[in-house]
Amino acid sequence: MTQVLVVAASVLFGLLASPGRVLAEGPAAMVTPSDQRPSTAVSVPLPENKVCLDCHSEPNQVMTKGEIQVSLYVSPEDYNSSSHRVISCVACHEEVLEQTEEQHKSLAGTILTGHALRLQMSERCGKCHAGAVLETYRQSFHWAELELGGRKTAACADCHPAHAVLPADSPRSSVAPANLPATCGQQGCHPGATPAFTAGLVHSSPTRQGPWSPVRIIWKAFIVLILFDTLKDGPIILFELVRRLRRRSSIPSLTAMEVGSHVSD
Amino acid sequence: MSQTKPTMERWNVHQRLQHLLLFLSVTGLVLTGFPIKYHALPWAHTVTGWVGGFRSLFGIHLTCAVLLFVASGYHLIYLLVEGLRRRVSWTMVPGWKDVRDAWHHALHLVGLRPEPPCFDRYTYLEKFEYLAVVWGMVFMGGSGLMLWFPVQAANLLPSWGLEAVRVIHSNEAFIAMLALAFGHFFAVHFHPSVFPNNEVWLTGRISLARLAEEHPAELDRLIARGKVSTADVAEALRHEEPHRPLMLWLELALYGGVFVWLLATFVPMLFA
Repeated sequence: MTQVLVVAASVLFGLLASPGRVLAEGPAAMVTPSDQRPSTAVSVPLPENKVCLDCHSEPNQVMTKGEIQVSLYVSPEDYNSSSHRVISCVACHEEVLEQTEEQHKSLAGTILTGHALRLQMSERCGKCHAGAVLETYRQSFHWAELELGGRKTAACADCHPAHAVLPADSPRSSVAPANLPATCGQQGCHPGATPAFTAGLVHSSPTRQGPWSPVRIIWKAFIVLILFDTLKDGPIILFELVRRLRRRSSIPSLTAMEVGSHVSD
Repeated sequence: MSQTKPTMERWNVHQRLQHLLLFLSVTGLVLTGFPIKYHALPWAHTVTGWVGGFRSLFGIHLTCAVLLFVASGYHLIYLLVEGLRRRVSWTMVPGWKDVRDAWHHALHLVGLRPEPPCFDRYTYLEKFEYLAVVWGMVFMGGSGLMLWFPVQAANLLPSWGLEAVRVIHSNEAFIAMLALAFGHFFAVHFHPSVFPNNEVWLTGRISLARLAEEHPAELDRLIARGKVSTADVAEALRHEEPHRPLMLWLELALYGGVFVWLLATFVPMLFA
């Protein structure tokens, strides 16, 4: 009976269903390398980045904003051996294109720092890293906290340092399996992180997994429970309300019957 | 003419305190958990702003979680102590009568049986709700603790364990919210015979008229034991419940809308 109701309801309402989709605890799959790495033909360091690195390779270079000091140092060795060596600095630091040299050097107070910077840069990563890798991050607790203003959480670059980013299969990568416990355990995020902890997939979500994966089956089981509750409470409430409306409207005819019976007496 | 409506105690002070703790902690957990579940929606940011940012939002969530564990502990200790004093009540335990009552109630609601089921102290729906709280406590409490201490939990789980735990926490949260906002709130607030509020959770007392309507088997037993006089029941039944057709129509529209929305949202997800 329930199955018949479910099927009937799905036919009736399936077409109207899109507004609720955002509710899905959802979807995204195990990320494949092609999702993660924007393809590029070039593989040598981009010459134009030398202009930036000429100044920013100075280890003691800092910017003072309010009461905090922010390091402006980028290691040229790390950057020029990272996966990002082929892209321009201003591809990510796009506001620099709109600054005059004077403004850039005076730092005009426009450069974001702290939480605002991490949020902004994490959104910019999506310019190239679209698809499953972005979608799964957007469903993670890490992003939920960052988006809602939390600070003690992982922005993209906290796990994938943008100036030294390397693919997971490179032994020096922060996300190489052997380095994950240290990466997850940094800055007191997940102290004592073990290989068992880091074996779990962060960029993953139930709808992207195979139909018989445990996580997907558990997700579906809970959708069934939600529908069970809906189909249990909904009809009880609606029939109860209808019954009360009908009972009241039938009172006059009952009275008439009573009167009739008295008359015939 | 009559002084006060005849009432009798339904919940003692411990039961009311347990309900109050459960109510406060779960309300806090829902209000601070749903902005995290729906972080992409604008209202999530509004609610986070109300409590002063994510740090306080999450701090309240964890505090309420501890309060919920306290409520569960209180209930278990209460059951244990009552058990040792051989006073524990078994009226919440489901039996075959509940299966028969559920079927009878269904027939009654669609108009195939004129008389309602003769419910005892707790109806099959109230027993289901109680067991749902126990189930919810195990799943929400368990998954919540694992998410609170993910490194320790991961050592006990398979590699997909934490991901599964998060799916459980997020979806069971929706089920708990649904059971409360849809089923429970109708039963204790929007049901025409209790609107606007069933006061048992505050005063611990139920009117004899409501007892006669909702728990006739219990009332019969109380009369048989001489705890309630038939005269009081007759007096109580003279107060007729007001008829509010406008409210009934409004509720019908509201609940009908929510029902359709729930099906339209979750049925497609089943086949996604």
